Amino acid sequence: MPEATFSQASSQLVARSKAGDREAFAKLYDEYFAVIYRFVFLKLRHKETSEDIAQNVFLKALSAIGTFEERGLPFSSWLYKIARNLCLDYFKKKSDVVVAEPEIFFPNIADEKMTAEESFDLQERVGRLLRAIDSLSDEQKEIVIMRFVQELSYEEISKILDKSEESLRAQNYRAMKKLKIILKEHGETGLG
Amino acid sequence: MEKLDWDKEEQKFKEIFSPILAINPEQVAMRRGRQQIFSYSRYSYNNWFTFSWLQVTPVVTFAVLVLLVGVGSRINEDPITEVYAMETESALIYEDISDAQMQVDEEGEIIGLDWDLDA
Repeated sequence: MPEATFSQASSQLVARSKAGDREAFAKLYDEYFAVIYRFVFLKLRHKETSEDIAQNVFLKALSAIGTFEERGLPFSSWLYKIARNLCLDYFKKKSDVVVAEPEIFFPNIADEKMTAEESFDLQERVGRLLRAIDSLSDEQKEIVIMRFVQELSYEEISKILDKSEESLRAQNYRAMKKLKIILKEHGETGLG
Repeated sequence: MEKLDWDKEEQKFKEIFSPILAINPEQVAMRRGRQQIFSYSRYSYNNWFTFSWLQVTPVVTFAVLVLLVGVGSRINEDPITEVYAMETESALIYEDISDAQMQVDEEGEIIGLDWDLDA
C-alpha cells in the first residue's frame, strides 16, 4: 500500500470515526495495522511485544480520534507518531531490552505459499538488510525505515520526527552511502 | 543533476528493501486487535458511566445532607419537641430532689416517687 498518499476514502473513514463510527475505525485499522506493526517490529524485533504495541497504537488513536485534525498531517503519520512514542516509552521502561538478532524472527516472515528454497532466500535477504540497518545510528535507522520500508515522503517524515526536510535528506544520504558499502560487501548487486 | 542521481539511488534502495515488506502480523493478532477496538467502545461507555456517576454522587450526597440538616433544624424548633424537652428537664429536676420525695417501703425498697412538689 503506498503510504505517501492519504486517500480520499481514508479521509472519509477518519471523519466517520471522529463521529463515533466504530466500523469506520475498524476499516482504518485493517488498512494500517500491518504497516504500523512492521514499523514497530523493525524497532523492537519482538513479535508479541510488537503486536501488543501496534494494538495499543490503535486504542490510543481511537481514544483520541476526536482531537485529530488533518492540518497537513495525514492519519497514517499520526499513527506513526503514536507508534514511535509508544516504542520510546517501551525502551524507557525496559532499559535493559536488547534488540533481537535478525535470525530470531526469521520464522515470522515465512510464507506458506513459498517453497522452502524461496523462503530461505527471503530470510537471508531480510536478515542481511536488517544487519545493515543495525550498523546505522538510531536516527539514520529511523529515517531509512520510514523512507525505504514505509515509503513515506520527506515531508511526512519531517512532521513525524519534527525535523527539517533538509536535515533528513542529508542524514538519509549519509545512511545510504554507509548501507551501500555494507550491502555490497555482503554481495548485494542491485546497487550498481 | 546531483538530486536526480540521489532519486535514482533512493529508488534502488526501495527495491532492495522490499523483502522487508514480507514481515506481517499474524492474522490472529489482527483479529484480536480488531475485537479490542469494539470492546473498547463498551469499555469507554462503562468508563463514561462510572465517571459521570462519580461526578454526580458528591453533588447528590451534599444536597441530601443539606436537606436533612434543614429538616433537622426545623424539627428542633417544633413547639411539641420543646415541650418534651421541658418535661424531660423537669423529670431530671425531680430526680435530683427525689430523696425527699421518695416513697420507700419497710425494707427500704423504692416503691414510687411523690410528684407533688408542694407536699
